[in-house]
Amino acid sequence: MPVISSGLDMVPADDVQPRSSSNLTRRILRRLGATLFVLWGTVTITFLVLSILPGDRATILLNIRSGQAIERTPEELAPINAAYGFDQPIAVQYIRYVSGLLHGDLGASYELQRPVLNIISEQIAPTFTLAIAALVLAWIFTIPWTLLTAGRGARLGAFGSAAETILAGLPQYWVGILLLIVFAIWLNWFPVIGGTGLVNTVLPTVTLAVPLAGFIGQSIRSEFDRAMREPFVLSARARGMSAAGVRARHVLRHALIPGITLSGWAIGHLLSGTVLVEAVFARPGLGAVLVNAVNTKDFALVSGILILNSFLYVLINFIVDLIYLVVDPRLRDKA
Amino acid sequence: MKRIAMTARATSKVAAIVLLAGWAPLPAFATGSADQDQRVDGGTITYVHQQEPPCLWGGWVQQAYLARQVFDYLVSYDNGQIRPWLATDWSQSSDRKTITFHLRKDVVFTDGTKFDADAVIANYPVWEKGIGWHGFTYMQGFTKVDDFTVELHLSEPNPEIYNVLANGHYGFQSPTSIARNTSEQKCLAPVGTGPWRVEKWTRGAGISFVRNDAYNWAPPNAHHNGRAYAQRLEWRFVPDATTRWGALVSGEADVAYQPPSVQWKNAQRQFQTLSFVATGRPQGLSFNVSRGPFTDQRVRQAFVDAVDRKKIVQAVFKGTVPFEGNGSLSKTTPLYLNVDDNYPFDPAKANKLLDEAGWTARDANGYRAKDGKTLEARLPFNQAIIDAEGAVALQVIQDQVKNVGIKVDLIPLTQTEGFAGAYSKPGDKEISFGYWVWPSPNILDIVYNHQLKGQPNGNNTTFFNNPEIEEQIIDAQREPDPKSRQQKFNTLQQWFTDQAVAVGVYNFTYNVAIAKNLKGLWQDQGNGLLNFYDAYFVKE
Repeated sequence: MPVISSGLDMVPADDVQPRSSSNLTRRILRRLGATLFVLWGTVTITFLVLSILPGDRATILLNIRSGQAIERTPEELAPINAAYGFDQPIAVQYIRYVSGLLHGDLGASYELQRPVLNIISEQIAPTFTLAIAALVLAWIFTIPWTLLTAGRGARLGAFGSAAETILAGLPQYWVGILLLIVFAIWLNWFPVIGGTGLVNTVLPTVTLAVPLAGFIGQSIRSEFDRAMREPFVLSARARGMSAAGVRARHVLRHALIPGITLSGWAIGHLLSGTVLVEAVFARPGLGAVLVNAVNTKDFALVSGILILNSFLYVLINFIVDLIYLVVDPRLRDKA
Repeated sequence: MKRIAMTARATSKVAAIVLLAGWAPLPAFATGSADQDQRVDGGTITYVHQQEPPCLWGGWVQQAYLARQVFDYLVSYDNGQIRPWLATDWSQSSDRKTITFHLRKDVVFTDGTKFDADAVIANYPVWEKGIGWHGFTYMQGFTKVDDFTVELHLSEPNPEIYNVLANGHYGFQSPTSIARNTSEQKCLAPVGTGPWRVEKWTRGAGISFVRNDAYNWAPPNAHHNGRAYAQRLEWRFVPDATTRWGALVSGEADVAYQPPSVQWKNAQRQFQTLSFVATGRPQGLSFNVSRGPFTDQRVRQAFVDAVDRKKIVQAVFKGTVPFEGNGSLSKTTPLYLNVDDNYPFDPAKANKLLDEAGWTARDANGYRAKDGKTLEARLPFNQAIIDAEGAVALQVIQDQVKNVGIKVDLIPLTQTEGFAGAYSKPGDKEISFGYWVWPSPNILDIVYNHQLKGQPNGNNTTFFNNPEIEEQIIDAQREPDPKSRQQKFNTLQQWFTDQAVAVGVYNFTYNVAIAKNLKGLWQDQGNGLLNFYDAYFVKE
């Protein structure tokens, strides 16, 4: 059945008006410039914050190495300060770190006594897998739920919305422990101790996806309701399209935009904010490493993880922008 | 040693060390029990532990737990006795400041390097650099006598030096690895002579150990010699207590560290358990005696009288952590004096003492006051060292002293603040709370010395400054006659208790629950280190 274009259908890629290549190059360059600016900002702000935060790094290092929590004498601190360059002026430390970065050297964690690059490359895979899996699963929960409950009258809508609000408010730690007790300890369906294998990833993924699904669901619901009242819904129905078809093909597409925006934010959050889930499921990952590094003011490690996160954040938001173009053809002309 | 287990929770059923069911303190290498007959060779032991230290070896007790698996030690500590290990025998000079150790000649590191006098000498600078409290052991260095004889030099006589050398920190790394390996390799996989070697450390997950097949130099208090019974040891880091318990219940783990307190009774019923009360100082209250209201002995005593310490420990830890009345030494420390019956709960006496001390006025909130100043105590506590249950105990203390008109301000510190030394100066606080794992009564010398190399001693949390008592402590430490030495340390412990400079509240403990098909696991009596070398599975 030929569908008359309402101007909102997906247009095959080759139908997109060719853009001038210089325009595209300029856009990419601008993106690249913005990315570098964000990375520089991340490094600088991290450096400043960790410098300003109270707590002498040499004291922390000495205390952690010996399990004490006491004040240290200048005599004890001097060799540590000299070894790690903490006795240099802040500006010198900053310049030294940034020039190292420009040479591709992320530095070494002084607490873990290992190159930051080694630590990150060891921890990135489980973190990234979990983040992406949780996001995908959250969408898998959200879309059918929205189609089933949104725009079908006030009662069902209120029910759907209430369920989303509750899910969005569930604390990760609580969800995690509950899933662990029921599915791992009682039913023995999944292993209790974490790991990075497929079965080990299921419960952590669900733990993260459940509240996230609530957030995404909330954000697309209001847009879905609004789009249901648009005239194109009536005209599509008048053309003989089924109610379900209109909801899935036209209305949902409108509603996705805020959810996609939220996903860009969520991925940034998932890449570093998974420390509770990692703790409950004893799973390796950047979350716990980052929290510990902040606690011990391990600058090179904190900074390395944040640089990576910012880079991924920028990259993912770039992908999100591309997804907008796929979902909403109106934006392509503006581009 | 030293203060340990950040966030580690203190739970234990009994004060003394409990031996695990199925393992009696048999003479070394005794076999023939029914369990031994059912022994399965090989297998993988999975142990779930709470905290993951930065490196495998170092000065923190969490590192001693790991180091014990890959290193061996000069001597072994066996229920109060010192036994040979890498040293076959030893002798002491007449001034007791030089100890000559004769070394085993058949010991080889897992990288093929031979263990000898040069290996011992090569490790000393590593100890000095890597163990923050090394100076308190009075060790000054080793000298080589011949290829298999070394002399250890001390600045003070130290009868407990053998306990120190037997603890998890003073193990030996291959001199070749010390010279050639990167700091990352030395951190993650140090090379020892021990029953296990590190195969891989995955940060955030765990460490895989494989047995050292050449191992044939177990100490005499081990239950067997030769290689370990199990083939592999999977040491997993599982920060959450519920998850650790779940792993044990579901059979994924064979041994679980510190089950949740609410499950401890279940653990004793369904599994085997081991408990160890740490040596050193217990979790206790240290009063600032250099300035503020607690410079007055009567105020300190009143504070202790006003607190029902036994009942608090009972209520908070549900009978799983022992009460400890002594603020200077814990029950398992050599030369410990039991003062549990001092300062029974007596609020009337507390009120009387405070009246006598002149704190008779009342402020607007009903707290006692003198010269317009409220009787107030700041009590900062490091949340990395005092866990949630410990914090509850502090809140009950706060509530109880309120009844006699003392105001306590609890100040929780983050890990960063705590380790950065926040609230550690005399003007910052009136009361300190914390513990210190240490195998010897010379802890008194560490925590009550006013100065350390001419600087204020950071370990002196009471800010105690009494040259006469310091002299008595070092005199007790130097006393050659064991009986008189015990007497002198008794006098000191009683003095610190009577003066209420520091009083105990509860002991720091290390508990594990063990699956029923794993036998032979035991805990070292110096700092509770688990010995997996003797552990074996039985047919069920």
